[in-house]
Amino acid sequence: MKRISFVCVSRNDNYNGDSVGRCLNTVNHACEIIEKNNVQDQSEVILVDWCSRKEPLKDVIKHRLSPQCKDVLKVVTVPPDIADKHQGDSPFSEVHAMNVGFRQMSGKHFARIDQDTLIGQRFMDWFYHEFEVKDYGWPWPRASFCSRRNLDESQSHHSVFRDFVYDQELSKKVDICHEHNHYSRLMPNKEIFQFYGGAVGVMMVEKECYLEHKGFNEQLVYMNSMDTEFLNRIAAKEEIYNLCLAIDADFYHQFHGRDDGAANDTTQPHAQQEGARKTNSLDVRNKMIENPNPENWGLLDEDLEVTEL
Amino acid sequence: MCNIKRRYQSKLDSIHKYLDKELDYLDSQLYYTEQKHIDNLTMEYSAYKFDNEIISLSSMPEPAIEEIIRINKKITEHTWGVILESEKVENINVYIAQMNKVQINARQANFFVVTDSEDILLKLHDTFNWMNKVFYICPNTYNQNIDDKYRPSINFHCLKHLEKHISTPGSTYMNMLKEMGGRQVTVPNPIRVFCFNSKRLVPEG
Repeated sequence: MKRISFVCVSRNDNYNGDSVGRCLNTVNHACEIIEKNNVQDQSEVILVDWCSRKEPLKDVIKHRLSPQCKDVLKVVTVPPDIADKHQGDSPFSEVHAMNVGFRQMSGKHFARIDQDTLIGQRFMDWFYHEFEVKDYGWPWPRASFCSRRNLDESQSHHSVFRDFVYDQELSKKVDICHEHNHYSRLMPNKEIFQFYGGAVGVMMVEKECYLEHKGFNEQLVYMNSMDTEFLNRIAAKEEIYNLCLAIDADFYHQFHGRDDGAANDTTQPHAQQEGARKTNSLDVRNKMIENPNPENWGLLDEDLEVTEL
Repeated sequence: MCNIKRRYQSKLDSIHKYLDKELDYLDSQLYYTEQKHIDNLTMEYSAYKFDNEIISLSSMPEPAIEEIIRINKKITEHTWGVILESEKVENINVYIAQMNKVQINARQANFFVVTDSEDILLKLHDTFNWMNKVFYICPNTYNQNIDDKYRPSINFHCLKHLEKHISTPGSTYMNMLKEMGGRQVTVPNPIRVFCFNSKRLVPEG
């Protein structure tokens, strides 16, 4: 069994401009940093291609993958005829796609990263040399959350993003996205906006914990809030690790426009850049709801193609 | 007829209340997405050196005693003392996490911070405020004409009125507070502190 499966979900389209290019950067970089740390035997990267209506993602990216992807990357293809059966009127059901990634992974820990997010070295040090490696006499939490830093347009350029990810001094100069949430700040109404309520750098859940909670709620087929809802369910029962504070937000979001982004979601950074995509109701963050997933959640009954490139 | 009107009115009032609450909530979340940093300490906040020798209240000049009284006015029963000797702070996030835990358990909690580092004080002041409007770090300076030699003692006399403290390991003031008895001093575990029991944040069904 691998220790960790980095799961990202995407498709072959031009969402907010060259999403395939960003996805390639993310996948190549994840495999690169895994090799750099010599932890290929403990790690895998799962890319779920959810509902590419043009050519499947695996065919588009196969000649642009770095050599480090060999034996580390798996692509799970969910074609439109299957995806459409599950996602209703949503153009891209992340919850289904992530649950598919979970079902296809072999790691002990599910680690969701967005398809445009880069993993940093502080996380690698923490996960491979500290987390569950060192015994401090108390159990490590089964769920961890880290928000992320936002590379600006110039920092995101293919030729320089590694500088900002690998250089400790430069990395800390990249603005934290939605900084308030990584401190769990008090709001004026005296409520606390929890640290896991913001933009995801990584959301890491141990396999057994994920199974106990039946994964992401598959009714939340639109954008945003599904991760907070999932973590609320976990937080009601056990501790969550504030990884963001522990590793000082060591995940990096590549810059992109937001014309196709979320609509009407004031909790998101860049809320003033109103997009068109329908979002899940904010209510799902603010009240505890039962997860109605059926036993075969994560498209367990579907025959999906898994490709090792 | 009057009864029906009253019932309608009461229903309308409760709907208004509900909508106002919802709007407040959305508004606060909108504020939440903005990041406005505090880049400079205002005159009410200053870092002062620590000192092993504490001057007793009876030996302090009147302005120093007045200063203690003024600082104490912003201190409540929910205020925690925070003692941070900069050379022992390896990672400020450890202390931020511990302060977060305090606020999760007691949302009205604020902090009286004693540190010898302006950077630390600025970082905490920036972190524990709301949109530069609501401040959770208590001011520690009103009269700037007080001789600096009294500042460590002023800080300590303010700290000793507090029951609960967070501290860097083995700090001088922590040891003095412990000797006095009746004070709780928490030295956060630098790894464990990031484990959050968030049950209080979880919404109800």
